[in-house]
Amino acid sequence: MQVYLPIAEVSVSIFLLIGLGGIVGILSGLFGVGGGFLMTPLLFFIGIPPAIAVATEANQIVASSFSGALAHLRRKTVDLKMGWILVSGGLIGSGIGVQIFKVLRDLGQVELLVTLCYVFFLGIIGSLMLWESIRALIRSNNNIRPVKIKRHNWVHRLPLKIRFRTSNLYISCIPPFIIGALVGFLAAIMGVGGGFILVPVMIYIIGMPTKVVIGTSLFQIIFVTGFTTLLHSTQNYSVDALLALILLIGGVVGAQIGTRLGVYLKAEQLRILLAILVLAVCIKLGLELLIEPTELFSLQEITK
Amino acid sequence: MKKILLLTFLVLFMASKFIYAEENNDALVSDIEDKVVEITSNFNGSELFIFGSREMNDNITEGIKSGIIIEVIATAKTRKIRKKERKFGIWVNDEEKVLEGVPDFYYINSSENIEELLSEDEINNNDIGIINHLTKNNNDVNSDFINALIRIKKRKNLYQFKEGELEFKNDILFSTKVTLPNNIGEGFYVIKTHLTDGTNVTSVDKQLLVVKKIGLGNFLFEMAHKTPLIYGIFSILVALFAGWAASETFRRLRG
Repeated sequence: MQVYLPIAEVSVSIFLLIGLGGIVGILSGLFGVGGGFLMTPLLFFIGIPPAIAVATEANQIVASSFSGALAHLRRKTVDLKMGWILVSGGLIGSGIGVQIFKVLRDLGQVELLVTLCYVFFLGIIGSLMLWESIRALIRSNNNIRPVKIKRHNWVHRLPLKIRFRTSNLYISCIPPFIIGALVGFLAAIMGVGGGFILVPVMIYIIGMPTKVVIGTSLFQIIFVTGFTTLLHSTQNYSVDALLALILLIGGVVGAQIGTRLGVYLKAEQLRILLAILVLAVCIKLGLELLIEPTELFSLQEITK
Repeated sequence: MKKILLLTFLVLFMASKFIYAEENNDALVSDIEDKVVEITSNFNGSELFIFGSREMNDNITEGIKSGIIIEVIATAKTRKIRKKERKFGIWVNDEEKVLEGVPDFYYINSSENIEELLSEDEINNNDIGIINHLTKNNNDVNSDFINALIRIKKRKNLYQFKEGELEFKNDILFSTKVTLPNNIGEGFYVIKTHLTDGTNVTSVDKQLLVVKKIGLGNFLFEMAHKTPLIYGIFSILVALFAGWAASETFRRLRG
């Protein structure tokens, strides 16, 4: 059964879309990743114009992050003060990102920017993940304990210190603000929540306790992707609400299945598969830039 | 069922033609089965049935070829076309041209090759064929770009070339089916039928087809373009509601 997507202006099989949403949902439930960084390139591959894919994915992440954050808010595992600082940075980053997106779209270079960002970040994440999971495998075989993280570093010497009671921290608000802005920028350009950057930075650089990290990052992502959705729809008219809705139906169900599966499966080993998948998407996007395309010309309708 | 319907159409059509034959001197009459194509949320393409009749041309016996050319031309739009170049080792969009008067959809069908039905001057004067049409609107643009546009559109089945494929039921009645793919755009589609005498166009008949979005898809498209702020807020609220609903549903399921 085909569904005509009103903003993307293409007809796609509804089962393909629900299936994609479901698979990415399972992966995100299994590994605790947002899934935006897999979904957006998969949307490119099935023929959704990149500008639409990015904006629509931001819209979908509003739903998945809200759903996740609700559970954390109930368990009180959200550092709201830290969350609001991340959000304030995020809104600025997103605003800058959408403006750059709009200018490059008019110049016909937005696909290039999006693809380059994906090749770069997927390459880094995929390699790190592969390296980490291989190391984890070796470690679990040899039974070596991981090294404890130092909680005092250069971040603690910056000015504008604030006390964060939930995280039990007294640090400068500059690093969270900057990282919030970076994530907002990536949300606007790549259609990702940015959890893959936020979470490690919050743990390793800001030094937040692990139990509040996921909740706080989801809290920020709701606002940042929501704001990004709003900006993309007013600046670029590129949010396809119907596409977002269909994807999130598959996504929420998949995420629940993934969470259950995680109990039975050994995530450490599966993480290698995720890493390989991420690298495969990265390589496919990279090759598209390197190999001479069969059609050198491309067509764009002028958006008034 | 459909066949019977079409046959009825043709018969009625012919009847009306003979009834009005005296005051109507047109040697050519054409019509289309449906005047409107609606793009719904589950739109998967459509078919456009064009039919008509021509008056037998006496000259045929003298060896002059009388023929029919049918064109379907969608609303002309302005489009940008870009060419990729290799820069710093990667392929990036470089040269860019704005093309005017580009129809979203184009179809041509004829009883013989166009060159056999019309003289070259007459083809140009009547703007027959998409290349003529585009070149006239963009005479400063390199033909590479125009040819690329046609190639891209043809690959998406949005430009269809069926020259020489039109068949007659007898010497008078003709009909053809145009496949409208699921990626067609909204607009007014002009169906132009030309009757030719081997050199010149002797008669032209035009029909109009309206292609429009309806239902949920149309509602979302209109809202997204006319009130983008409301649309943006609406998209966020839908997502928040879906997120909340999912969270509640699975909380209950878990017990």
